[in-house]
Amino acid sequence: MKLKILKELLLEGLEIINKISIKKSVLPILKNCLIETEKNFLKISATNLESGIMWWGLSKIEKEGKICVDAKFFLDVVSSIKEKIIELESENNILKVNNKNVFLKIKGNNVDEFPIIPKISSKEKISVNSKDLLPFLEKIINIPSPSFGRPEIFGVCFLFENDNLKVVATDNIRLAEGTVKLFQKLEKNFSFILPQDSAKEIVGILKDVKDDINFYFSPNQIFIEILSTDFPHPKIIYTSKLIEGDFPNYQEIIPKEYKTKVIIKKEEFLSQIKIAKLFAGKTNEIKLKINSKEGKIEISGESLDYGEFKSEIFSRVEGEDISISFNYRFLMDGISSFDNDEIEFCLTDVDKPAILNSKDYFYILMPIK
Amino acid sequence: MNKEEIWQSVLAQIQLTTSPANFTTWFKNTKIIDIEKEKVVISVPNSFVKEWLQQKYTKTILKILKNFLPNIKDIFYQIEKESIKIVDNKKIENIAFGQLFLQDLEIDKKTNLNKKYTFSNFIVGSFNELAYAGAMAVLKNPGQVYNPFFVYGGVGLGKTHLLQAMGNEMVKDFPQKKIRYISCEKFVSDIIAAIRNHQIETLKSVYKNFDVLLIDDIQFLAGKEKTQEEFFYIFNNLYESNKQIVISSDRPPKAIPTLTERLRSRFEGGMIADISIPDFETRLVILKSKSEERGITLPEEILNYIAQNIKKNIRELEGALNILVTYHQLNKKIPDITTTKRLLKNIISPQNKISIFKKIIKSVAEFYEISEEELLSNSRKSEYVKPRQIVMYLLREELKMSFPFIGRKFGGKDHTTVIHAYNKVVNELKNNENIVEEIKEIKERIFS
Repeated sequence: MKLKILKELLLEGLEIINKISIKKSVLPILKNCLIETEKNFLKISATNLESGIMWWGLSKIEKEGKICVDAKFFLDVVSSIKEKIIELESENNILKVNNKNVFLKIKGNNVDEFPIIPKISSKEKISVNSKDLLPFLEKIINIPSPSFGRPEIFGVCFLFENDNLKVVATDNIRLAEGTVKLFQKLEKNFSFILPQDSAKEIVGILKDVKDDINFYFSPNQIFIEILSTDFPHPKIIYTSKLIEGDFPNYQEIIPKEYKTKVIIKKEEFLSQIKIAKLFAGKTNEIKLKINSKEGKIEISGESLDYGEFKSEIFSRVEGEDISISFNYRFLMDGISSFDNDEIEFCLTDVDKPAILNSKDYFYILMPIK
Repeated sequence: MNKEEIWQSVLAQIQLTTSPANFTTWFKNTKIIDIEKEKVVISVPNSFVKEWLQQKYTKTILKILKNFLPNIKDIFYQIEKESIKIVDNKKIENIAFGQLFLQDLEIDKKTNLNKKYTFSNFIVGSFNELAYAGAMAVLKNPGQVYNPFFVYGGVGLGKTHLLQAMGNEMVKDFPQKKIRYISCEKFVSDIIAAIRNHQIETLKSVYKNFDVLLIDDIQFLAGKEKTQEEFFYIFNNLYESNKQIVISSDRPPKAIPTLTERLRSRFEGGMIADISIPDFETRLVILKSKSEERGITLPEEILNYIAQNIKKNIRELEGALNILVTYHQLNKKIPDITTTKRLLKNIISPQNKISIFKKIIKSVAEFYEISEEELLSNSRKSEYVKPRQIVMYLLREELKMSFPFIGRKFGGKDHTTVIHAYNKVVNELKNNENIVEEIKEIKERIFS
């Protein structure tokens, strides 16, 4: 293999493929990336056997070939090179990196041992704007937790319905859903559950991507394709295994009616919770006492070790008075995940889910009794 | 040689020529799931393994397989659902004991069953052994014996647990059967919605397709004639095609007021089993096993105290235990008996006579579906007279109130009227099974 490529381009590729998380594995080759020539492109792939990624960058190919090198190490090497153009050459399992006055020889590994990344097998695709999708994924990505419930909820559920893409996550105590408008109305609905680790990888990849992305479905695998802006060729294809099973029928738990509605001013409320949490004690429990007539919300915390805290804020309140307790961490997570300064907070009962609501995003939270 | 042995010998040979790392990565969790004439189907855990084996190992595997199965020409790879991961509990920290969960998420979409209810955490004692034995018989041969299977008992004694566990067990044993659990309240609201949207036929045909129908708290059908009619139709349809029906209620069929005669006789046509109140020993066993689940060991003295004082309701036993567990979590010590008494004060308070008096009135009124005013009125309508006599009987029996005092409570009735009422009920209790059942039910309500 012999080729010339722009350093910035190569660096971009290596950064992207290094977003695949390294899992504990007995197979040393998984720490490597596969570098190969493909027509006029340099292609770099990486995988941890749960997800995989391929990246293509235009380069001047002089001789075809392929080699495996340690992905993280190669990224560090390339990012410290100052030259604009880098020449790569492989020979006898050695990758030579040549530029003006630095000559490197990197030890390579057997390309035959590098896993085969599954290929897109279907033609059906759905396009989504990554700028619309990313913020919702970031809001809900940390909700799933392996500690609670069934394996089906240890992931992010993607529901393609009509002209919406809904992304949903839950840990049995909280549930959040964001809705992205699609460009086209779908003839058929699709859904899949993406493992949390894969969803985190996608968040990492999409941060650097501003374009539309294409979803391709297959029974056990999901593919995400990002096309190059300059020519009709994929720039990135990411694939991940899916979680088998059905995501719970969460529509049933979305509160449809409420007894008390509070308009929360985000910053004011958060700053009060931050003090209350110091007093929340080991159970993280803080209490909200909502007085409808006075439009008053009393926030209090009590700890056996430190003492008591109580504060009042005034806001718009509709409906009945209620006194209800939450885990402050879950309440803070929920409130901070909203972009707007005023959030609608609806409560039904001391043992019924509460909901923080906005136009295209909601966060449901169970109280402490 | 069976499938497992064949695959073992394939693995044994491949191991010789593969590095241990490669071997575990690519062959862990693989197995032969099917051997047909010319092809073998191998299950693999994911697409990566599938691609790898397909492209790198098919020839080798085929060669080895031919030693045992000379006709084999092809290998297919099939991605299997991963076995369920063991949940890592160590991350559960700072979760308050009272933290509530989004319960409905645990419910299976197809069957409407909650997977947390199983027989492994169902405690059997003399109070529920008949119901349990009936359930076991039904599970062996759904639809063939005891159809319908009717379970009744007071609040918090495990009816829902029994129904759900039966459902979950059948899902396991008869995966091809369509099983549906529904609460009667939900059923009623579905029927009403269907009638309103003119979709009642669609709804009925949905029910027709179930192989097993478990319906909880059937007493909610009382007084809903149109729903009873539709339910009768659905019931008959399932019953005639030998589909299993399991029903729970807080009282026996004959004590459900305004249940049409034809439904009542249908319900009584199968097996009726009651769940009564667990005795002291059983309550102790329940407490012990529940505290084991929570990982807390409580001294006998405390367990005895709880079991002695909470008699009528298993849910309350759990509630008391929860309070002690929370105390233990917060204070890192086991509560002593004085602390326990203080902590449980709200649950275990000696019932005072005033509250029991109110409860008797309320329970009787609710049971016979009349208002408390009607019950205490002077009306001579027969639907009020009998409940009123039962109230008088209960006030005398349970609270040892004097006859004149009871008379005054009923708007100045003469004490002889009260004595007459009391004697009448006492006599009926000797001769009339229905009254015995009804009073038993009412008492359970009063003390639950």
